[in-house]
Amino acid sequence: MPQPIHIVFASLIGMAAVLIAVSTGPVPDNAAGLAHATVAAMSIGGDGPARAAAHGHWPFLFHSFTLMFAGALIYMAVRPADRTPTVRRVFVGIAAVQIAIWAAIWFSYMAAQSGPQVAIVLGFPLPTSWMLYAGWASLTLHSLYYCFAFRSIVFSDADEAEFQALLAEMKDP
Amino acid sequence: MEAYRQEIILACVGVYMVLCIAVGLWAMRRTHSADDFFVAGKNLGPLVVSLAVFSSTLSGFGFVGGPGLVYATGLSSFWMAISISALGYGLGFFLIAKRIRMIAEVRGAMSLPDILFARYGSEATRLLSAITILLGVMGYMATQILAMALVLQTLLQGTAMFADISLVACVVVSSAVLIFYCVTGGIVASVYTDLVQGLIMIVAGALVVLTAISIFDGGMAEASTILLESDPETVLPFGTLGPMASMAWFFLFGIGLAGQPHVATKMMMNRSVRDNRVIVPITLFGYVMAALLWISIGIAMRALVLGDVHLPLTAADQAAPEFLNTYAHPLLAGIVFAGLFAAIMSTADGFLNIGAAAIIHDIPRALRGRSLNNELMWARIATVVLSVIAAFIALYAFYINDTLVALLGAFGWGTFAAALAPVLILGLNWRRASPRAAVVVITVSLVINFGFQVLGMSLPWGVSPGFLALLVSFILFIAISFLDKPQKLDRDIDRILDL
Repeated sequence: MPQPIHIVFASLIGMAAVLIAVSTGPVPDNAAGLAHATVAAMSIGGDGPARAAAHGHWPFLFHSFTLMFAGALIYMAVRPADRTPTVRRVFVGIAAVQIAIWAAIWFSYMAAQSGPQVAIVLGFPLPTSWMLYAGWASLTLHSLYYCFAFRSIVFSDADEAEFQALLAEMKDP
Repeated sequence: MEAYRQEIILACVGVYMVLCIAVGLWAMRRTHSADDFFVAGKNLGPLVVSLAVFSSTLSGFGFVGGPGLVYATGLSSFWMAISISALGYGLGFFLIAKRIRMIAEVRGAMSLPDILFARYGSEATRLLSAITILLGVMGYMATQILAMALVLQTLLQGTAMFADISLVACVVVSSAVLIFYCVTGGIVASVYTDLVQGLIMIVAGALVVLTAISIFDGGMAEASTILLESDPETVLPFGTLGPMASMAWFFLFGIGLAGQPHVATKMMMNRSVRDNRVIVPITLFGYVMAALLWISIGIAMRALVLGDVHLPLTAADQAAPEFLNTYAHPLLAGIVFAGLFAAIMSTADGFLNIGAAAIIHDIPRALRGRSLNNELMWARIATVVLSVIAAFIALYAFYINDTLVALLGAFGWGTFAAALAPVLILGLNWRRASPRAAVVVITVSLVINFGFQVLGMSLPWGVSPGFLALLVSFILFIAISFLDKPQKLDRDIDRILDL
């Protein structure tokens, strides 16, 4: 079974590979936007469909690797003894939710590039609402789990006792 | 009340500055040693630490730079806010907060280089990390002092009495307040002004969002429609910079948060590891509220300009001041301007603190095996010297040549992230993390960030060089650590890594 550090490393290599692939492919003129024609200090995205055609789904893959990387990295903070099947399922579940919502953001964004007028939902275009409400919330799941499982996987009573013992030893070796 | 708008704003800023001086005097009575000066005796409560962590993360950028970025590039920069708040804090607390606090207590550590030395047993790691911090501090400090003086000058020039006030005078006034409370109260004064700033930002964030929504008859939906008609990319999730640039920012800011020394050092100051359970949600909530201010002002000003309601701005960073001066209630504008000063000062004082620690504690220890005698006195002297040098750099940059600040600015978030995040995160969670990998990664990250700045290079798709440096750092760190022989850890560190 792969160790979390292997998943971390593989995700980084995946991100680097995507960066190389997208950088060595065709880069349109407006890859990072262009200056507004009349308003100073403001840029516009310009031809979004042309930009989307050039980068394809590479950014989706890139960010999926980022989410895998972050999840595996955080999992490294859990002691091996505490990496129970339940804890593993929680981490896999969080990653699945985050990637599913990221997919909703991404594919609604790509659909907005080629489809008719994009719908406004809860004050913003649909892909943006996915990002603002669901995307933001999904990324807090690790923080919520940190608070929820604090006394079991972060700093248990046994950890506290062990730390106090260590402190006592260091003061009086 | 509208007739006295400028006076109300100045009064709020004045009250805040007086408050800073009072906090400095109060904190001086609680500062008896270098440990008090640098890490508040590791005895702060969870609310103070929470607000100090989030407000020192945000700085003046959240009030000025953030809204300016949304005005200029649409929602691209929102990924910074999402990654820091939702991912960065969770990741930072899971991976480093507990063990940093434990090592600080067991080893009596007062700074991040102390922690790195304890983990790696390498004076080279301590020295390189201290030099990185010092360079970054000079860049950050110069830009913070300049920003503070420019805002003060703008406010004062709006009054008849100070219409001709010079920038030099504003640099002197704002630096004097900063130096006074940092020298007297050290980090204690810093975190308690952070507390005030954090509370202001949470309240201001909520009120500014309501103000921004109320400007448009149809609320945010109307603003979105105006932006969609003008340029759809602006209000789609990746803004005008596009997906690759936005995703690179997400990685750089979310993962890189753990490497920010002014944030990580705050994780050493709580009185108990147990408090972290409370600190995380408060920090997250505070940052989200402040981020709402950042986003709502940017979107509203862009929609107002493109909808021909407001004249175009000459600079994107005017978005927040213009919005507050024109659309916000005078009292709210005053509170937010005071919050802006608080934001700049709280970041500046945090940097002054870690910069002073680098000079009088970390670098002497790395070079001669011990720090200076009477550290508290030298810490105060170093704080004054650092502030004065940063003020001169700020003025030099403004009047003569801004290259120096731009170069030092390269040692900002991206360099701290690339140089310190892998070394800290992996060092505290992976036994194989090697000292050689730490030294190589800190050096390479400096070369990449500095190289891109000096050579004026850029990456395709608007990808930040800081992202590239962070990615390369992580890959190099893991690869070198795998190739090195596993290091035997000190007994106390070994046991802490088990906890």
